[in-house]
Amino acid sequence: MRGLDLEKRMMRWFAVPLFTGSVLGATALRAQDSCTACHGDRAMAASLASDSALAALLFVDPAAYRASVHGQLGFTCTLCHQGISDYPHGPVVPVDCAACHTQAGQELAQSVHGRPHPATGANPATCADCHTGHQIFRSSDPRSTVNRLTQFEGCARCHSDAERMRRFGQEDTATVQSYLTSVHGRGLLEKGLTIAPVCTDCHGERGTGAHEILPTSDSASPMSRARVVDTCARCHGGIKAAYDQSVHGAMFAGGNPDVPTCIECHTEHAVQPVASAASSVYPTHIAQTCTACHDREDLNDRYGLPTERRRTYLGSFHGIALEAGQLTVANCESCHGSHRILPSTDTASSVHPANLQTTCGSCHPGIGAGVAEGRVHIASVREDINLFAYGVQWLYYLLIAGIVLFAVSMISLDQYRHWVVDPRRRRPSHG
Amino acid sequence: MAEWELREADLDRIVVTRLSLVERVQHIVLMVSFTILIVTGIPLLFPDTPLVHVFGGAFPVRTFLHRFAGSTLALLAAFHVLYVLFSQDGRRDFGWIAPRTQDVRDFMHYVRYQLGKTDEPPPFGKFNPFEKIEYFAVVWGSAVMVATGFMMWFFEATLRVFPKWVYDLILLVHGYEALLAFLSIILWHLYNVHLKPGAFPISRVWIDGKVTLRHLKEHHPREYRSWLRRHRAGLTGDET
Repeated sequence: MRGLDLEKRMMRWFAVPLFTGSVLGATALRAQDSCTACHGDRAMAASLASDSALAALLFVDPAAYRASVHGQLGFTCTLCHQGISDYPHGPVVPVDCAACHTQAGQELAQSVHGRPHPATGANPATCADCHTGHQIFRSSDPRSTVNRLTQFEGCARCHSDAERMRRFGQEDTATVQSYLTSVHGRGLLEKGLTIAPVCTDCHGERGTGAHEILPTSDSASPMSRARVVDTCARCHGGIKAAYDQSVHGAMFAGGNPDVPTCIECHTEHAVQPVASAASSVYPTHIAQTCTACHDREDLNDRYGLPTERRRTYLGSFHGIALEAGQLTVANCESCHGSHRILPSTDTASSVHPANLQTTCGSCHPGIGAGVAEGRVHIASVREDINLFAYGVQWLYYLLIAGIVLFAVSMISLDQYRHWVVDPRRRRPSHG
Repeated sequence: MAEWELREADLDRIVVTRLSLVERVQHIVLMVSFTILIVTGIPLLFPDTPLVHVFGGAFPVRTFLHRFAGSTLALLAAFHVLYVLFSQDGRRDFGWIAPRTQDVRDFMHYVRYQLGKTDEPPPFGKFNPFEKIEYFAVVWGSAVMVATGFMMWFFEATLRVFPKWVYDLILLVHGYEALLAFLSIILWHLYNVHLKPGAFPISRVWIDGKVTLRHLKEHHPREYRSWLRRHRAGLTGDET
């Protein structure tokens, strides 16, 4: 800032400003002037190429460049665009940012963006795709395309472009957009909470991870199944501590491929606050979310788990009341817990028979100990209550069938009398 | 006997009381509470259907109405017990409604009559065998529903006394008994009092409590003859 102001002031005072001021600043200005003679003039730049897209690339707004972090440092065009000394110049060499930004260059080369994609042979993204070419700012600067407040837009420019993503074998572009309405996206963009996570907080390594992004299928990615719990725990550490104690967490630590991590229940890009009606773990959705696994026959078989959890819940008074709109009734989480969930066989479980009276009592004070002597999820009267109740059920089946049959036959008899017998009796007297 | 045969016109002119005012009020209270109980209860038996959405999100209102109607039914049942035990009409009618072996013979007679095998109407008293069954079904059903209903309402206490499987059994009984009662009323009671030939579209007995002598003669011959005897002795006060 100071260097340029000084020069401007000097231009006003001296007739030959190009030879005054700092040596670097003066050289920069001179070189800039010769490049901008063509590239700084929109009409001139347009005449340099017949292709309008290319012509647009050839134009560089001198003022905008001067405002950028590199312009502010007084970097000349040729510092990046090397091999140009004369006019007219020959073909330009691609800019090598890594010549200065060594670490970022190395990290990018290892990432999904900086490696030639097997399907296309091209690198999916270059430095300029995210940082721009001439309007680069420090990432801490709100004007930067990679600032926390603007980053999503930059990532989404490619990641919601269906045609571009298809070239790299990715069909789904809606998921990325769902970040905008998530608790994270709204926290950042609506509430202005810059601590809310942006793309690179989860997809990159902690701290400087923006350049090392890997596909989630790569086990080295922070969003891979192996690492996602730790990644969420960067912010939600206390939740992870509880999760680690749960049956899900313990089995996850043992490398089990079936148990849920954070995202199986909460989703990732679209994650909602649990109090939001849109949340996958909101009372109206949680049964669906849990039974996405717990009603899966293969999983229930593999782990010897009881079946029909959703139907038995929805058929219970709690389930019916919930279905009818009473959200305060117990759902899966109310009894089983969430992050610290344990099987009912575990004495520490909220649904272990010894703890059931306390668990039910948290909503129903004074509930009797009898609540522990029987099943809660009733899938079958015979299996889950007992044979006596099954007998009573059959007695009612017979009674109801009997009543209906008796009523129908008596009604038929009455109609027979009315339509068949009575007219026959009356006929002689009428005749 | 001939001098006591009424003229044909008298059969339609003279009306007798079938249901007293107290009985009609009991019936209306029963009818209203029963209807509320059915509407607020039966949908819960079919959780897989859109029926539960009839409450329009006002589930606590449903719960309140069901318990209110249930309590009303319980109070009505208590009143009815006192009525049967201590009122003159109640004691007399309970004596008539109690089942006896004659009812079996009356039923057989009724079937033969309906089939056209005989022209003589079955000699029913004030309460025919069907009405007797229905009355005791209501008594039994109310007792079961009130007992199980209160145990469900105060399930915290129930579970202090019984294990959960008893509670599950109570739930099951409450549901099936409700279905049984609902079907009986819809199919049997509504047909027999309102829809059957002669009564259709609606019988007014539940409102004014009156029936004509002709009705008595055709449907309750034994009561009709008893009325004639009392009339002869100058004991009837029902004529209008």
